[in-house]
Amino acid sequence: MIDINQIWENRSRSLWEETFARLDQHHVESCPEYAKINHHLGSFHPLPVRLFKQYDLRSVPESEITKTMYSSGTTGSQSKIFLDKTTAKLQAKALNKIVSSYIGNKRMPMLIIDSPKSLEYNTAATAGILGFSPFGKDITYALGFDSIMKYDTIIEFHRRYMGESIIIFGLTYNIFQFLPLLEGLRSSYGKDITFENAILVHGGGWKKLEKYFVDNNAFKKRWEDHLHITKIHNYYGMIEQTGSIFMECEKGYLHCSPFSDVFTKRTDMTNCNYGESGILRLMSLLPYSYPGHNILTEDIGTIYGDGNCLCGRPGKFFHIHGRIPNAEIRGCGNATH
Amino acid sequence: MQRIERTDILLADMFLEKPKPIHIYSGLVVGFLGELSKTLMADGETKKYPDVVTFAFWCRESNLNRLEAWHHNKNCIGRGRVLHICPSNVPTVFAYSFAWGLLSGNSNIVKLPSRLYPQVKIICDAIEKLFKRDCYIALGKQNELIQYDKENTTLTEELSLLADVRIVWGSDKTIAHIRSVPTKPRCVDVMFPDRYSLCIIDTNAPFATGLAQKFYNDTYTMDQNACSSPRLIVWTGNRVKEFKKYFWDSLDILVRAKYTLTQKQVSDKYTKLRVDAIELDELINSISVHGTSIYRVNLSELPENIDSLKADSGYFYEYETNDINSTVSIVNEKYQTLTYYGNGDFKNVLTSFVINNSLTGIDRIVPIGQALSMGVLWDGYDIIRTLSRIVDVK
Repeated sequence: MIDINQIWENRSRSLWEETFARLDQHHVESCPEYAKINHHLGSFHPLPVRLFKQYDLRSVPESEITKTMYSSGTTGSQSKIFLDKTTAKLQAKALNKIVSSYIGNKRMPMLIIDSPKSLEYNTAATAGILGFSPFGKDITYALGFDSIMKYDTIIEFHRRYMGESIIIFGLTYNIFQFLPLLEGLRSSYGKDITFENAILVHGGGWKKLEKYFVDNNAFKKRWEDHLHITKIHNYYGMIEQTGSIFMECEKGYLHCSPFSDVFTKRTDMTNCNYGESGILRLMSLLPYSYPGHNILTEDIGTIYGDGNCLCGRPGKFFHIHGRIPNAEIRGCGNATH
Repeated sequence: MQRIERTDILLADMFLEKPKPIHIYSGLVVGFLGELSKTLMADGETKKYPDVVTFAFWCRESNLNRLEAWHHNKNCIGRGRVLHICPSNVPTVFAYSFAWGLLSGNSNIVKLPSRLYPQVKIICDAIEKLFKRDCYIALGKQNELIQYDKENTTLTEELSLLADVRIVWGSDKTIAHIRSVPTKPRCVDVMFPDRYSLCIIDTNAPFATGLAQKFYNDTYTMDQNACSSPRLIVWTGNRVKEFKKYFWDSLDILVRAKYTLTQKQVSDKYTKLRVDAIELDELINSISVHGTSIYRVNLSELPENIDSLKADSGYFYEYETNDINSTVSIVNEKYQTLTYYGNGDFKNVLTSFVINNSLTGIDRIVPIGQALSMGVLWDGYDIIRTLSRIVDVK
């Protein structure tokens, strides 16, 4: 069992590696599929994320599973992530450490750009809402159960907390859709609604955004222009590694927390240099009930350095560029018809 | 090449002549294909595409005359009109299919790949240029190269009713669909579904330099995803260990120098290898990876469904045996090409293996390096005979 406080305070490489090795050993001993892969292919190779779609991967007895999380499942079948009490607790504690280092510990009024219905599906939205709720008070959903925007509620929330620091949270995709609707808000109330003191935190669901080619800087600029929100934190996280998310710093880079490590891979699976883009491999000390501690994603990114980001934060910092492009191979078997 | 963009355009809008079947290997057709070969070879664009060069080399007159020697019956003429439905991911297959249709004396309607490959354009441009020559105008009127959307099923239905032969390259699903489309009662269907191929290497023969290159041509040139590219390698003979080392090391050097994997291919191979470790588990002797360029799964026993364990882009299953007859149980009608390497009489051993064991699969036994070469025999058919009719004269 890892000690969140110790990992957070200590930050030594040897402690990290030792903890990781112990965690890996636990998965080898407890997850039969992981053990077979380990046996035939050797230790410490990342597990490809697609396996979580194809198999029910568990490293604790089924009876100890308290919750199953699902990927949004935009590409065929969904990933299934099995959580026990221990893992869920680690996720919550780690998330708290990471997020409070960006936005502080104080609970603030929170506007969630989502429907409370999202809590029912156990997806990335659920993980995000539950994970960030401890930072909020008077948690208010901008959308109703019918997923229609509740203008009155938003106006009321705005009036109640005018001038106070608040948090606005939502999946990137939802936040993106929300922006044009605010135009409607302005016309029906005859005045601008601005949130000078708000912190906007958004993440996940960005894959759906790819088709709009949204540039992160342009995205931020729109929020600043329309709503006067300047504190915006994007985060990158996988449902396979809930909790150990990567938060975007003031300089626009995603940062690796002490609970994670990140590498980029070339097509021969050697590690990329800093500045070179490749397939992202993510490691996390949190997953205990399922072997998600060392995964090969289907995302492309570039790591720029370790500890030398201009924001002054420690750890590796990187950008995500999107999904691995879908390239058709040659061969026969697919007729034009 | 006609591109039919709208789905409401039907046959009434296309000018189709009544088919006029002619003698197989007619001088007109052989001359035309020979000219096509020369036109392509003279085109600077051709050199950029090895598959176009291969086709151009194949359809030169001397090669066609050599092929003709196979066909002695002088009373064979075309069946009428051949409808070709060609695969979308191999650019030049349509050209061979079309050439078969011509050589067997038929009129042709060729549905081209829906993707606009430059190879298709180069070959179609050359064909259209030749069809403008006085000597080929009549031939041109008998043949249509068209491209239309796969959603235009009405057009496929209308064309099917005009066809005397349908040649379909495609997945099992595509073939099932085309089979359900009605035809004239005498129409002959020649279906080329998805197939599986293997390679047998007899290590009693000395390792030859160049073998790895030939194997590379059979596999990596088509991302190891052509029906005739081997996916299973069976090793036999007394020097398996030593031979394998030479073989895979030589191949590894070639692949690293010549073949580029996309991130998608790497991700797919990497994932598939883990799935195999889970699924095949106890059947696995060892797994060897050469970077990501070659993945090899060495099996102690062949599962009967090995033909369904398909991976590509340099992913091989290996099996070692002293008796190739131990592989009999896996061979079914899905097996197409057996590529081999071995001493002088090994070819005969393999022929007996197929015939004496009453196998339902394996239609081709060819040396390593020739997996992808097209002839006029394919998938167990004598194509020219199948596409023509014999006038029985007594």
